[in-house]
Amino acid sequence: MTAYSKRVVFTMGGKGGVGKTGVMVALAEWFATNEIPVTLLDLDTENKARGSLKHFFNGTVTKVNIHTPAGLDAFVDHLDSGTPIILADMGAGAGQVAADWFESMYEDVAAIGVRFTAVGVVTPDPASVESVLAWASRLQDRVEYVVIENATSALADFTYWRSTDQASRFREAFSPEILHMEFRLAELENPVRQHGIQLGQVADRKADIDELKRASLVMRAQSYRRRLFSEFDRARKVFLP
Amino acid sequence: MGYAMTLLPSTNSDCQLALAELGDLPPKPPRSKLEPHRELIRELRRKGRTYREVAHLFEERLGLYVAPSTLHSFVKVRAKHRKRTQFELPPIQLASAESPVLDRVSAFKAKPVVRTAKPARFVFRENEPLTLTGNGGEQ
Repeated sequence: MTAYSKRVVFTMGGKGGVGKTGVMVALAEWFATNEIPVTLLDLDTENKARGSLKHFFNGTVTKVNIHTPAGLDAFVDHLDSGTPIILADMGAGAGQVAADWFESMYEDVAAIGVRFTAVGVVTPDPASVESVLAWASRLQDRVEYVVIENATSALADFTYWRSTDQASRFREAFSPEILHMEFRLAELENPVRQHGIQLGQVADRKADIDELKRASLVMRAQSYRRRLFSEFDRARKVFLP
Repeated sequence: MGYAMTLLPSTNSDCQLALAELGDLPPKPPRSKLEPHRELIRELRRKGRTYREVAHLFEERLGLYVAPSTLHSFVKVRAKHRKRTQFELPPIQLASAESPVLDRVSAFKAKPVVRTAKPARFVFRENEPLTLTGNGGEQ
């Protein structure tokens, strides 16, 4: 029986622009609020400055190029020398690299007590659902799954995630934790992304951006954070070692 | 009398030495006049010819007179010798039993292969569009 003592939480990259990095930023804040240190890895090789994990946590994020023969070996090295939890933000198109790495390395890494959580983000766009299902088809039960329903509009319709045969079979096979991320007002979300500000910094009035100091936006930020953290609390067993 | 005494071994070690020398003697060549025809005799016997018929054929075709009983003795003695030679061959099992490496090779080959690949619990075909179920739009 393996004693699990470490956890890698990574986004299932694939469809771009669905909010993967936003989820990772929120998760990192959730860990920080609960005083649990984590290692942040930015595996998005597109190397975009704005909107990347590094943009939000500059200085505390390690950028890793996974398109090398060693692939995701960075997981092993950082777990060996750092915190017992890694948050890794995968970029779009990392699916094959991740699948190959799990195929060759999973057994041995799991044997030293490492567990994996794959975080998928779905939106009303069916391509986002297909992306999550394609990853799951490769990773199988080597990971635990979290699916975030990211409401990209006030009346987001998740029909392709909730009411398709393929998604239904995925849920039956792996019983993922399904969390909801509510729609955020553009006047908060856009400057937050533009300046690389964490939601918590706005909620705690620590954002040094005038447009984010408005009382209503601060209260919005507090409200969003409370509800999202409540979702993470509900699924905390798959985020902790 | 004195000559005979010097020829016979007088001690145990002398006996062993003499036996060893006898063991080194080369085998005596066959003396039977039938020896050159051994294969022919065997062939005729395989075809069901009696010793009497074989003797008759030898006299008629080869000008070689031989009694049927001589033919019988010739065949029986060689058959006995052939059997003994076969029995003296080391059995195959003994050869492998003497080699632990071969034993390990056999055991390794017999070892069942452990399948590491588990059957997929979920398969998604990326080239097939998502299929809405009957209760499409359920929230």
